Amino acid sequence: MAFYRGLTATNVTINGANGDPITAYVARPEGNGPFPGVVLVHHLPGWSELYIEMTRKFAANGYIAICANLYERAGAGNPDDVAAKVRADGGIADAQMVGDTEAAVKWMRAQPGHNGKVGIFGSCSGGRHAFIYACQKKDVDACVDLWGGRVVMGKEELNAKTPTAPIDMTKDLSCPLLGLFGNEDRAPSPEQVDQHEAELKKHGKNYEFHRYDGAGHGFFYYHRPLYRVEQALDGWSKVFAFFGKHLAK
Amino acid sequence: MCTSIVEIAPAEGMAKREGEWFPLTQVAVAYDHARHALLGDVITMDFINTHLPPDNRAAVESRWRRRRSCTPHSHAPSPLQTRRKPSAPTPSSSSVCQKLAEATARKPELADV
Repeated sequence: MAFYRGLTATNVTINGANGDPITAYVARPEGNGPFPGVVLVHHLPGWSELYIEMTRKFAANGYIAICANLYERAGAGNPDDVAAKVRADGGIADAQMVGDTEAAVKWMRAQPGHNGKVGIFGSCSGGRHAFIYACQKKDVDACVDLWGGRVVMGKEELNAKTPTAPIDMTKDLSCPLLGLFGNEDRAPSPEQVDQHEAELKKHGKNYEFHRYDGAGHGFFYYHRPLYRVEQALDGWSKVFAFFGKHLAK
Repeated sequence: MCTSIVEIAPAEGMAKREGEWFPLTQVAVAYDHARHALLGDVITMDFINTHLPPDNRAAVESRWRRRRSCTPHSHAPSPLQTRRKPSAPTPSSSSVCQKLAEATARKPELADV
């Protein structure tokens, strides 16, 4: 057997919130499986190349992976421009994200060779979204939140698109949670991570938080000055250990 | 940071992209981590037309440092200025400084850029 696992990747169309067709990038390991699945929820900079690469990374590590374009409705074009347009429109609604992500989870569960387990993974706004999804739906088996901001929200931040602070959904978390955070981040700040952890403890949730010194926001982003190699390598090992534990069958 | 620090306002006028001007409808100013500039947290400005495809966009990601003239003590004569008459700040630069100070007072994070 070759040391490196082969994979195939392509784009598919799934029916997201309100039945809207949206594009998703999918990657599948070579072989018949059975393979666990990972649904990636992209970050605020959009359906970016980083997330496309991470989708393939999961496939190369033995997971069927899918990353839906949550910004598809803003129009076609460079994901960077599309993300700017979404930001200028005040972001996407949490409810729409849940509908789009649910479609990705359904796609996953319909794949031949899938082992029946689905993890959800996101960073930045995607971490927040992954957590929201794991609280509102019961069809994922493990959740990874990488430095998700605005989990703790003041009342003045709530609006029609984000009507409920994610921290207030904690009691409904339906699966184990892994959280990775940089101690130099200011959104989420260490104090906000403390608040979230206290809420998880209060409700007896299965979670593990890891906090890194010498790292701030986005320390996995190897193309940004935010990158911290030591913390990122350790973080990835924790992600795969967590999914390996909870998505095996 | 993953923030929601963004100000969105209607705009009129024109912006330029790839040698072509397009009419503006909106400007969004945010403070968040950079997507292109090799910097950490930055002020981003997107000048867009919401009725046109997303690539009709003029964008800036930048960190700003306050001019020394924004702080009262900076009006003290420098060694160079002692040899000539110090110039007073212009009314326009004072106005910009005041607006920046007001903005950073409302959003403390801006003071760090």
